[in-house]
Amino acid sequence: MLDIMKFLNKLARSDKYQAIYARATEIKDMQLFKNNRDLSFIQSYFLYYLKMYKFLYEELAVGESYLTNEVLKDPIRREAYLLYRKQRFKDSRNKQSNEKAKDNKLSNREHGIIFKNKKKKVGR
Amino acid sequence: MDKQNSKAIKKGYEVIKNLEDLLEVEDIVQDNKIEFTIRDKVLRVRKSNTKEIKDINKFRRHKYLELVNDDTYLFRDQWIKTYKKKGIDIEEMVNQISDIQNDIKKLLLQLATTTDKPSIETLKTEISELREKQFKISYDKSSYLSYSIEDQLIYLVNSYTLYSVLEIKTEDSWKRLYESYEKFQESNDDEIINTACNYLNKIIYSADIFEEEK
Repeated sequence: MLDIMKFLNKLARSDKYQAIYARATEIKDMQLFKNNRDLSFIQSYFLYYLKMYKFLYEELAVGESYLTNEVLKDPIRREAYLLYRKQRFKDSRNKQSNEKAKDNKLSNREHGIIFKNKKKKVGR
Repeated sequence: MDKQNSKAIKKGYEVIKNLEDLLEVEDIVQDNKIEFTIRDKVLRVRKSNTKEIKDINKFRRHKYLELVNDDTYLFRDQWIKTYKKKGIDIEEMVNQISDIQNDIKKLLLQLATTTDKPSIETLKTEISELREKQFKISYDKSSYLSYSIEDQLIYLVNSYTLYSVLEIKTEDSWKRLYESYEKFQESNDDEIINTACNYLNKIIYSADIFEEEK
């Protein structure tokens, strides 16, 4: 029996489909499939693979640490790398929002002091 | 030399077969139709059209009412309570699946930053073993709940969908392999039904995700 998922993966990482996908994201009217709505499971999964490989190839091109061609070819190591990147992204987003919250707290405190002073003046 | 030749021929055949399969999958993803041949019969399954989806939904509603009004059928939650009284804890199984998933996640994160080859192999083995364990619990859980109204409904709707989109090639046109749902249900042709069911899962449903790459 035809192993559809294996070949779907192969198609998605091919230069041909990576190029088509890159074009399709730039040009609105370009269609990847015969239907353009109500995508089937296999089509949704294909899109997921295309997006995943686009991301991985870009990461590989800029020399991200821990990503090599060997990792890309190995399903478990590839999954591990994607999870690690997701976690790193989450951590940096949390760090950013914590810093933002800290800044806001500081800025509010400053505003609080100004407001307090003004209130005293009005009171007098 | 002969041995080398036959090796080269075998390799060449594999390359061509791979290319053919790749082109076939390319066609499938384009138009959501899978053609296959069993005992000289050219068959296909395809994604349901709007009219068929309406028909399938109607079938689903009728079957749901039928199951709900039949006292011998229970909902998942009722089965879970019944099993608990008999000493089988489905909720505990769900917790175990989730705990194993967390362990897998930890190992995956460790694997991502490991560069030492023997450690990579050890981690990969540990992950595979945990996945097997997780799959076994998940399989047992599904088996326990397979007679629930929810699972029975999925099974019935899937078979009705299969009946409505399984077609046979006759000269230049395609027609339903079975004239009626009753005839489909009476069929003993497991080879055709199982193959068609497997392919239909690949087009429509999210089954078999974990067997994506061997």
